[in-house]
Amino acid sequence: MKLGELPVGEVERLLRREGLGLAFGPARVRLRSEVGALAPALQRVYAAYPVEAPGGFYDVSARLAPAGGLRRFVRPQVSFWLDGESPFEPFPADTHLPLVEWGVNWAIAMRLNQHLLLHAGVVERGGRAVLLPALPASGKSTLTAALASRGYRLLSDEFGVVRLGDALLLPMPRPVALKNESIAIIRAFAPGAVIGPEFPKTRKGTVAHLAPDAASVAARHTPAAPALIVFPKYTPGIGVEVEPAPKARAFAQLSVNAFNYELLGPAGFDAVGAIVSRCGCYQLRFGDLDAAIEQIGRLLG
Amino acid sequence: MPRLRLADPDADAVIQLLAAPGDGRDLPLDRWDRVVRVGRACRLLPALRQRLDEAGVLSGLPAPVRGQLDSEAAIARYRKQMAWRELHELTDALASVPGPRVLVKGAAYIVQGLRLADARVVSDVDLLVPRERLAAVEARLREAGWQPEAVDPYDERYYREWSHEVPPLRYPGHLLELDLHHAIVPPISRVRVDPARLLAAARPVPGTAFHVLAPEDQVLHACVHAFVDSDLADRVRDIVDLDALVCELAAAPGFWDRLCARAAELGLARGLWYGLRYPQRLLGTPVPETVWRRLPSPGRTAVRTMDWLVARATTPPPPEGRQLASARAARWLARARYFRIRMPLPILLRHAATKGIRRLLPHAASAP
Repeated sequence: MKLGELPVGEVERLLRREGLGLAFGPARVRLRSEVGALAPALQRVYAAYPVEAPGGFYDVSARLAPAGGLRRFVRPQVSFWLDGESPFEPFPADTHLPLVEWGVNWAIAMRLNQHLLLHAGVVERGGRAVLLPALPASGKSTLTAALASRGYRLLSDEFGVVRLGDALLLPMPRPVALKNESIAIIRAFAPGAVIGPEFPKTRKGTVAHLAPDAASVAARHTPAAPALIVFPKYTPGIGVEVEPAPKARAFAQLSVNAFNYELLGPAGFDAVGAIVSRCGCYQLRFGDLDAAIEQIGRLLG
Repeated sequence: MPRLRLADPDADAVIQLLAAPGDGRDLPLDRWDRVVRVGRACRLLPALRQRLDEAGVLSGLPAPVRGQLDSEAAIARYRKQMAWRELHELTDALASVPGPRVLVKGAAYIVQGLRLADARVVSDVDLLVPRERLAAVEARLREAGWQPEAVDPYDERYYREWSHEVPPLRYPGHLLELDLHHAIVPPISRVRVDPARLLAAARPVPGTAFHVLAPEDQVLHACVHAFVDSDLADRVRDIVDLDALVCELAAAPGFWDRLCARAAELGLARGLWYGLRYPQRLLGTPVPETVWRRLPSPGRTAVRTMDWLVARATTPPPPEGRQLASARAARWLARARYFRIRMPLPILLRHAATKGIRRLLPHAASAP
């Protein structure tokens, strides 16, 4: 049964009781929540996900619970719990989904050190994957969302999960976190896109989540071979400009931005090396999404 | 003799797997789920992975379970590498300071190349120097760039007057802290261990600039750390360390004789008794019968109390649900016992008043 097809009351019950199990490719996550409003929001952005049996093995078991203290009478807050620990300050209660997404990302970054975790958007077409490494103001999430709504398979907007050994990319197609003006841009760019509720005034401004499409979710256990690394830079007012990036610089940028490059030592070095040597590497400045997508399609061949 | 069981059934399952890793072959996935969660909280997954691997079980485990064991092992390996980094830089920084630099605990296991060091999450680097050289070593490290953690004047005084270490030092940007000790127990503790005798028996580690304690002193130190100068809280991993350490060092001929003699000489026979009892009763550590005959046994009530405390206070709170009331009580009592051993009453009262009585409650953060 897909999460989107369950009655909302059943989702709420799962969240309150035995937990809602979701398998994101390499990470299995079990969520519990005492905050009822989370259920419809999760259903919208994870609609295409099959609900896993709550027993079995999970990499992450997380829980959302109202924060205690007198404050709850004035301004209710929620806390994210990971195995009996609450690693962050509580969030306002009405930003439940951003807190879950942020918390699960954090947990995955701490827990998946059997793989190299690049900080990058990843999409794929024709068996060839494109890595869009995150740099500040790169427009990575917007470009990832745009590519995903033009027929590319979404692997992730946050984690380039690299399997050590064969350096293939493991998909983790979770919702794409769109911030501020990106939300309206993607709504206009892809009118059919399913976007979850908007959460204003989070610490990253207004956040809304683009749901991954059913095909990407269905293919979430199929790895993809890296073929192209594109360092995007959103530059208003231009169409698109592209130039080759030296491989040494691509190596440095990928490794510096990774979540656990240093932790993995030689294995991380080898994995980044394998990826960079297999991929074409380019800098891409773009002001127009259609032009950027067309350019990436040409580079991918 | 029946196995002693930990009160938390999942933590007990972790210990049973460490003792009999072959049982991992038949463990269903939902049991693995709980074992991995509790094992992670106990920081025992690298050790569990090592033992499963040595038993030939690891490669046959379900991929997600192996993935989590690999992930935690990668963290442990990285911390070990960072300990080496600290040691290399210490070697240079202290080149001009005379006298032995004795590594204890995790860093000592690492420089000796013990198998145990591959499966431990090293938390900091502990260096023992003679008290008369402490100031010179600390000054040299400060000059070389290590900086003390920010501590308030009360904590500063606590460290300087009543503790066996100086406030922890860290080189900016380094992962691990450096703890500089002049003794293995606080000078005000009821249990006295003359550091000069430990230092006199320390031996150089070939190929490094460091010394380590004599093998039997390493075991005695681990016993003191786990059971004497200890509030027991979350110390189940120290019991696993003791199991591994004893198994590894006992291979040397005459080890047990030297260990018993040294314990008597240093007044640590009681600590050793507990330090061998719990690894043996929980993990089946092989301790020769003659050793038990040579060590004076504590009274029956004392042993039963300690069994009760160890079964409840040494494991962290469960990942879900409330901690058992008996576990909370055990942690409180173990903490009270710790302060009673560690501080004479007048200092204890002062410390309690200053830190606030709340820090003595069971859910409190660890005291310096």
